[in-house]
Amino acid sequence: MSLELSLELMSAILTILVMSYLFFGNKFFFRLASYSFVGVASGYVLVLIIFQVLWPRLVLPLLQGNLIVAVFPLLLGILLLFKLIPRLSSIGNISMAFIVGVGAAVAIGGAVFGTLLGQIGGALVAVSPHQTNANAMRVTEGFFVLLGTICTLAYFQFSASNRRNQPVRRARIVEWMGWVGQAFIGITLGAVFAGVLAASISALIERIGFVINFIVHLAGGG
Amino acid sequence: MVDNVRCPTCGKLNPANSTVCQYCHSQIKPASFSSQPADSESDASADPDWLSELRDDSPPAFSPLSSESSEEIPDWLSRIQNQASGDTPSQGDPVGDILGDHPVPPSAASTPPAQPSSAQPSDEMDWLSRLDDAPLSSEPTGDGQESLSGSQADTPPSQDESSGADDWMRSLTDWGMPSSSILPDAGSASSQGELPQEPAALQPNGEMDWLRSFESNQLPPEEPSTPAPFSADSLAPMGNDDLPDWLRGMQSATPAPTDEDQPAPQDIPSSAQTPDLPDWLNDFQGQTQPAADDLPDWLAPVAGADAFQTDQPNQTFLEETPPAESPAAEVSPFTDAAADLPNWLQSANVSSEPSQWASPFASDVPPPESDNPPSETQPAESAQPFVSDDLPDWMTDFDQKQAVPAGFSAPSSFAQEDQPPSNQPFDVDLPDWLSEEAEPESTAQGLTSADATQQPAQALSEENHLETAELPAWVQAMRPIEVVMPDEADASIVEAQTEKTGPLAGVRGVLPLEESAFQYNKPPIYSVKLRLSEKQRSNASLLEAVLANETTPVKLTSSQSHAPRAIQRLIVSIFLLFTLFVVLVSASSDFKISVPPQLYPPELTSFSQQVENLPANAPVLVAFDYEPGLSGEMRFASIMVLDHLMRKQSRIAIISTIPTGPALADQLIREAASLNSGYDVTANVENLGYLPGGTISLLEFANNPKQAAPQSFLNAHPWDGNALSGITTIQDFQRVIVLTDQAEVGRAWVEQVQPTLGQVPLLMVASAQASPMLQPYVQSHQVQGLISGQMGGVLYGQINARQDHNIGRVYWGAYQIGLLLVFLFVLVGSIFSGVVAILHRTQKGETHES
Amino acid sequence: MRNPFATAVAIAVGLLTLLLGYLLPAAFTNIPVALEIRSLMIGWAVNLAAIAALVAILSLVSVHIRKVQAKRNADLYSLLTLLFFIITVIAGCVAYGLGIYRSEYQQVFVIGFQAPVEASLMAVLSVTLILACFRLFQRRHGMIAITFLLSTLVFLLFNSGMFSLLEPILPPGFLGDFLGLLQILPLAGGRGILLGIALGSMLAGLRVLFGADRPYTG
Repeated sequence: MSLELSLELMSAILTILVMSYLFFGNKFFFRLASYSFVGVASGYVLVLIIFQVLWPRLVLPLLQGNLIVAVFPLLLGILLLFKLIPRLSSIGNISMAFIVGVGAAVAIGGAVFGTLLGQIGGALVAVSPHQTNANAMRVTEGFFVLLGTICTLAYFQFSASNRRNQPVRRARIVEWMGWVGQAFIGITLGAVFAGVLAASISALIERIGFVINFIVHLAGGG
Repeated sequence: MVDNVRCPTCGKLNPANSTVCQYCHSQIKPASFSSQPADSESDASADPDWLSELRDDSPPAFSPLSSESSEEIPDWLSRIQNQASGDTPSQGDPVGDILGDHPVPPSAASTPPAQPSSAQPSDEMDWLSRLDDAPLSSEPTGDGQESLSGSQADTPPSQDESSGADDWMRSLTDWGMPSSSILPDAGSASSQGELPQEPAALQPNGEMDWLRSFESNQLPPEEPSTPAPFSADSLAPMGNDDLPDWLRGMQSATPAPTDEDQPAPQDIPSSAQTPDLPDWLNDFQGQTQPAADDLPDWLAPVAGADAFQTDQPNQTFLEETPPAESPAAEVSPFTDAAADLPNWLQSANVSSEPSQWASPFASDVPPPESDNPPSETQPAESAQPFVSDDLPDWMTDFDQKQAVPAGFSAPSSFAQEDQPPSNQPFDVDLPDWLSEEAEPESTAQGLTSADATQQPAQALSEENHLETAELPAWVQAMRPIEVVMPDEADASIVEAQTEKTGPLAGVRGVLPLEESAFQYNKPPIYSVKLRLSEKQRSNASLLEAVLANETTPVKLTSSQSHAPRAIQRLIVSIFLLFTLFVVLVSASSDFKISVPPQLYPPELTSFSQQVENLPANAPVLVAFDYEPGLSGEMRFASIMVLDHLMRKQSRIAIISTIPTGPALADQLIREAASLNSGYDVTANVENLGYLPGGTISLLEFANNPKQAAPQSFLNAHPWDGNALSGITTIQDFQRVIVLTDQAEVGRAWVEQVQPTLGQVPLLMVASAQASPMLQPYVQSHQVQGLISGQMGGVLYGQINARQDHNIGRVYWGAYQIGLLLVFLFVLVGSIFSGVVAILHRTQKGETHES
Repeated sequence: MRNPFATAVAIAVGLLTLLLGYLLPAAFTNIPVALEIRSLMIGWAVNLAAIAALVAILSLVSVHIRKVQAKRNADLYSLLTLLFFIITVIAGCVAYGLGIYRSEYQQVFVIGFQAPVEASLMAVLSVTLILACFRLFQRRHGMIAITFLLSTLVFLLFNSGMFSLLEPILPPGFLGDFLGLLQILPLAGGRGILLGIALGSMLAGLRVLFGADRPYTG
């Protein structure tokens, strides 16, 4: 049996084991596949990190004498290993703080320069009559998108005025915009959900097709 | 000393016969005294019998002092007298009020003041006369009483005064009995037990309740070591029938010594004086007596002197000191000094314990020199405790140091050794109730500072070294602040502090006992029952209702669908699987609902154009950032894109932020390469592998690709190969294509990498689930092309005329059937669940209405 | 403040990265030293992230070891996990350590094992999502539920490409405009959501940089 056939057999068996969930629920076969999958996935990531990340990025520079690149993260990494010991886990907080600090800065910069400025600029450009290939339809389309965007943001606006002897309510215009924003959010989430269904159906079709092909391949002797 | 009289208000000296101060025009003497001429003879006639007898029997040194000081009876003394004459034991007696909430017998309270004055002398003087008949009738009395008697000797001979004197004497005895009975020390207790006359004579209704309590509690059962100072003989005149029960009990409890055992001189004075003393005097006795007992031998004379002053018999002292020698000399300085004292000192004097009055002021104010010539022997004998022979060495030294003006400095310095000078005025100002509080402490300590001050003062006063009434500077420095204040303010303050009730009524400068300390009120009784208003009650019930809703377990409704979930799942699964299986099996027949649309989204055409416009051998970065789970969807479009790139002979660099990405890329590259036989994968494709760190690694790769991916999936030096030749920055790539199944990953690429790309187009192949969230980036031109899902892959192959190799078309029919089934399931299921929900709500509403 | 040194590290590193990476003008950030510092810090963070992933895997393994060693109700499925973990690690060490069969190692453990399992799980998800739609109106009401359901149905048809069936009966060009309009509809809401996500990310990052949030302590 060739490696390819063995892989196909293993894939077919695993597919059937997982699909058993549809008929038997979270029982032995499904657990067999899922637990073994966890072991393989974690082992693979471990190997990948060691041989594709730590070895070339930490060990090799250290061996080559590039201490400034390797020593500091190595020390912080050793501290991070203390996270495995509950009593000493606080020692690794410094390393985690380093990661979180850099991550926070990266997130801020990306959000501002990647999404906020980009999307605000895109929304304004869409309503600009001076845009490329501008016509009435595109400008109307831009206004529609701008309105939907503002209404969606208004839906997440939860600050409200507090007047005496009256229930706490948002401003009337904000209420109305929030109501419209609900519709836009519902449409967007519906589109996403339809995409999820489409992706899952694609996966289901691909798995069924794989099993059929394997059976045909196996039956055809091939 | 008597030539001048010091004004109690301004403190300036006035002639002795003046009644009004020449400087401040305030009364120097109380009206009652000033209105009547001072006549020693009339005073003597007005004195009660026992006083006259005492005077007759007293040493010569005593009487002159008393007569001399008659005119200068301080106002505090006169007020005491007035108050005593007007007060019954139950009225205006703060001490009695203070000493607890002991009820005063109503008969005593209702007794008119006149009656006791007329009836009292006979009773009281009887027992006094009996005491006088005792062998040592000339035994010294207490200081306070001696001073009082001295004062009485100088009082005008009016009947009122005499009766008043009797009254206040009686009231003093009324004070004294309870206090003396409280005395804890054995000696005093035993002496109290011998107090025969007071209850019968002064309290017609018998002893008070608190006396009964002390009868059982306070009296020590037996003190064998303490000789009982009272003999049975001394009590004989009183008669057991006159004694109250508690006294009889004490009498029986205390073994009565025989006359041989107990010297008579000790017995009689104590029995005679103790009941006459107010309680605070007896308190003082209680302080001094055990102190003397506890004192070491070397201090025994000192203690003896103290006991001598308080007329508390001390056997040791009496053995050394003849009883008749010292009392008059001991008392006279005080009596005289009290008359000459300034007002503030008088106030302090009055507020302090009577037995202690003498000591500080006798030490401060020298006795008269010319008017009171002491005998030659008296000073030496009265000062016997301080005779150097009896003193230890240090005391001798101390005595020598106090040579000039011994009358002032010796006692004060003696006191200064024990206490800071600043505390002395406040010490003597202590009222009796405070002294009661301090009694145990002082008892434990033996001699108080006041006692210590008193002893040398008395001893030295008899030495006639005392010259004038001028206060030394250090005493002036210790005076209360009102003395040195301006007169008006002083007068107002003094007036404000004038005692209005009690035995100290009319005395100024005393601590405000009534106003502050003794105005006890019962603490308000608060009901434990909570009173609620209607509003509070309604709020409470509302809160209870809210809490009840929170705490009441909510009935979990069972699944509202009629079919169990497993069955639902089974039905849907079987139907879906069977349909798709049939469609896939019949795929060879090219089953489809409709052909792929011929309308192409603009982002797809843009994507295609971007790839199509690539020059040959252009470096392209392809990121495989999708999970294997979505490979079934992603691979259709991905293979078409890779096929297009290979057709364009692009150099492909592969990167992934997902661990499985490189492996998926390797497989897809091989599949795409199988469609392009002329494409050299080994030369043109470099799999840079996995980038750890997610978003951070994207930024690192955008800034420095070589540092972020130093090694490739299978090659140790990827940057030296053909695929990456000439690539140093990310902008060196001609295109950046991201294959992703998650909108977050696509957003991370837009946020972190796209700003660094410059003019390099960013293209995306996204899953159908991610494309709605990535569309805004396409609309904002941050992403120049987008292929969405399986349909996008089919369309991409269709637009590039790769239908023969479009694997997406193989599954197109099944894909359409699958989505149609899902559409129907969702539609029917939603309608069904909506109807069920409406029916359920309707039923619920009907149930509520019914 | 809990663990002030860690907080100081997070704030300092974050501010330095933010300044050198985004906020300072290019005249400052393009200085070689600034570029080197920024690159160094980001590189350290990436390496630490890799080690953090390593720690997470070791922690997962330790959990399964404890479950296997449990005296009561020992989890035999965890034993299966450990077994496959060991096999995968050993094979990976052989493949990468010796430098042989790297491609085969990838194919066996990713294409042969992980991909089918994950794809099958995704396939099962389709059935689960359909069943979830059955209970949609039992759980949610109102505008969002209605528009969500309608949007789902419409975009299911859109993704299937079955609108092309209407092309013969519709006027020319109408289907194209209709599909274009359909594609625009989720754009507005998606942009609003993206802006909200960006604002939330920025706020969360700023809270970390100001020390208000310290997710690294614990």
